[in-house]
Amino acid sequence: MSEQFTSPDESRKIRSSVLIIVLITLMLCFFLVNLLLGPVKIPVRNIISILFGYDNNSGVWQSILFDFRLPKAITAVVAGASLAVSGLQMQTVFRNPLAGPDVLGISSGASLGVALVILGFGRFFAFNNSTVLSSWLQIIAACIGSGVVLFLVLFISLRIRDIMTILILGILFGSAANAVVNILQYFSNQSMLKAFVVWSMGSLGNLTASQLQVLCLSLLAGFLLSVSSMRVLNVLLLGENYSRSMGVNIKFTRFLVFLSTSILSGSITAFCGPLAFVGIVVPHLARMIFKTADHRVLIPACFVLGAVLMLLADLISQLPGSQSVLPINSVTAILGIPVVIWVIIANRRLVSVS
Amino acid sequence: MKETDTPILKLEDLQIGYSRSSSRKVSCVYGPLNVDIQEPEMIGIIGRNGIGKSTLLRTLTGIQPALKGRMFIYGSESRKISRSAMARLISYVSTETLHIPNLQVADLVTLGRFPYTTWFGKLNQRDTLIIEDAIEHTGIQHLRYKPVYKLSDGEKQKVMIARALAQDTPIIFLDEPTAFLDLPARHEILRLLHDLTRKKSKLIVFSTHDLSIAMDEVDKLWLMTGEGLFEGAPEDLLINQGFRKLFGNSDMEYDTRSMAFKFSREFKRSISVLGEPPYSTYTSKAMERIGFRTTQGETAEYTITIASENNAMQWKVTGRDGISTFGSIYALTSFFMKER
Repeated sequence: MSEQFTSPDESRKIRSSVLIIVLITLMLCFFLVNLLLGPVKIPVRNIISILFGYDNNSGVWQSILFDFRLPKAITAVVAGASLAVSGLQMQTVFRNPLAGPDVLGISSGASLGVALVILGFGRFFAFNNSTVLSSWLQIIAACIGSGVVLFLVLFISLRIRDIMTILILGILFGSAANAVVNILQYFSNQSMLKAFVVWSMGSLGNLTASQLQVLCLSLLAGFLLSVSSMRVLNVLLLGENYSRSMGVNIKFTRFLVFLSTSILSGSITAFCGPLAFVGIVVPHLARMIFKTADHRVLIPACFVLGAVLMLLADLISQLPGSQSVLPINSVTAILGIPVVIWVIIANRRLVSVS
Repeated sequence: MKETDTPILKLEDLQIGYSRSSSRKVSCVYGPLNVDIQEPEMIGIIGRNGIGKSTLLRTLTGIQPALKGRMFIYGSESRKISRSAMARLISYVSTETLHIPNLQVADLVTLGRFPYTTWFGKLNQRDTLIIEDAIEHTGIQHLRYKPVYKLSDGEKQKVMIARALAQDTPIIFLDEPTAFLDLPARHEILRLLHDLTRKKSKLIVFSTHDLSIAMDEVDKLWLMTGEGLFEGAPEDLLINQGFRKLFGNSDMEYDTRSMAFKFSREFKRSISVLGEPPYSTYTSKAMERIGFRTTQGETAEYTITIASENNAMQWKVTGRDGISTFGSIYALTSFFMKER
């Protein structure tokens, strides 16, 4: 960008817009590749014609595309986007670079709900992971589990002022929920254990179209809340005292941000299982790439970057050319951990978020 | 906005401190305070560590609730002023140091417009003008595109003052704006606050430990002592011995000759210093450090005569043992230290 002709402010804006456009293009490419890959080979030409409704004759391909690949790709996009956005919000509110969507203990709460269903009550009715009924049951259990933790966190956020105390309490809730999950695991039989472990590895591919609709609706509410708090998040970077002196209602703002994060990460955990690292890593990548602290840029940036990363992780998990699929959680962790290490070592100066 | 006889800031029996809602335990840090400020002026709060300077400033800003008493801003009770209206009346600069990656100086100053912008934070022409004005008045134009974490402490403080100016409030409270700064920066910051009081007619209240610099710049000092708050022009407080109450039993006293506070010394011997100022003043200062009461002209045990010889200063000591000559104050004092 020619800085002789544009002011640094303008060139920064142009840079951000160009980067966003590049990332969106990348997202669309990965999305298409995601639709292309799979055990059954469907040519690109046919995929496009099926997608736009020109081709109604190839029934099997149509059902593969609309029942499996498209829901899965869309799930990858929304899952990556919502985890990244909620991670960004948590890092800003807690002023802690290692905060993520799980720090409030919400995904642990969801795990507890699912563990209760699969491990606790599984013995009373033959639990089958593949039926629609049991998948809805898991989702509802996860929602209740994360909902309980959410209300605990919101309650303390209105009572307790010190943000560090809230952080520690959130971690304690998570540990308590995990402890109960461990006890349940200890007393359950092999097949139930396997079902739970498979859930805890995360999956993007188990959603039906109607489940995807429910997921997207609740995520929309979460995204609206986070977009409405963009400007306040910028002020929160300066800390509590400055925010108060500029007229920010700290408790109300925290309530809104926690609510949005809980909806975003809670529903993703409920529908896809606990997906690790995307929420911590993507905000750091977004800050490095976009070189800004402005949440009006960072929130859309995290949305697109999270989607790109999740699509990429899904592509890798399918092991192109082979029939088997890796658990998505392991792929995001293997992709994510080097980035976290890099953040900690290379940017010691920048490691603090605010 | 300002009417005659309506004070800008008025405190009525204000008590500050901390209360715990759970245990109903109240710990009052300071008060009751009664203060009445009519004019935009620069006020320095002086007090020993832990007396409650920061608590007072946080309470006045509205970050922390008062325990008892009332506070009026332009005649309206602070509790009845809404959060957003308060943010347009009072801005605050704290001692916190910020390490925000990627945040540029201009971005930080722009955040000061928060109380005036709509949900997306779009700036209008007036916002831009006020931001430019704030940057200009604090002299940070050259830092505009620098990341905040790369600034020196003094520059950071100026940027935070610019942010407060961008908030465009008639009242600014600052908590120890001179902490962590080097000597020139301390002078610079307090001079800047002084100029802002005059040019932009703002009420500026700040806490500081730099009493001697503050005494040169402020209109009024608030001394927070164990016996209550004493206010007045710095010179009034010198006349009515207000500072005595501040320092209590410690041996601080104001030396009217050097116009500075000094820790009083015990002198065991006396010496007479003859020569031109400033050499005589400097020599006296050094001799006092090693325990001599200095006199001028009167006869004492020793006499130091300062004179220039061949364009170099020489210190000649006349005593019982004869005459010795020294080329520097250090050599002079070393001689007496060895002798003892």
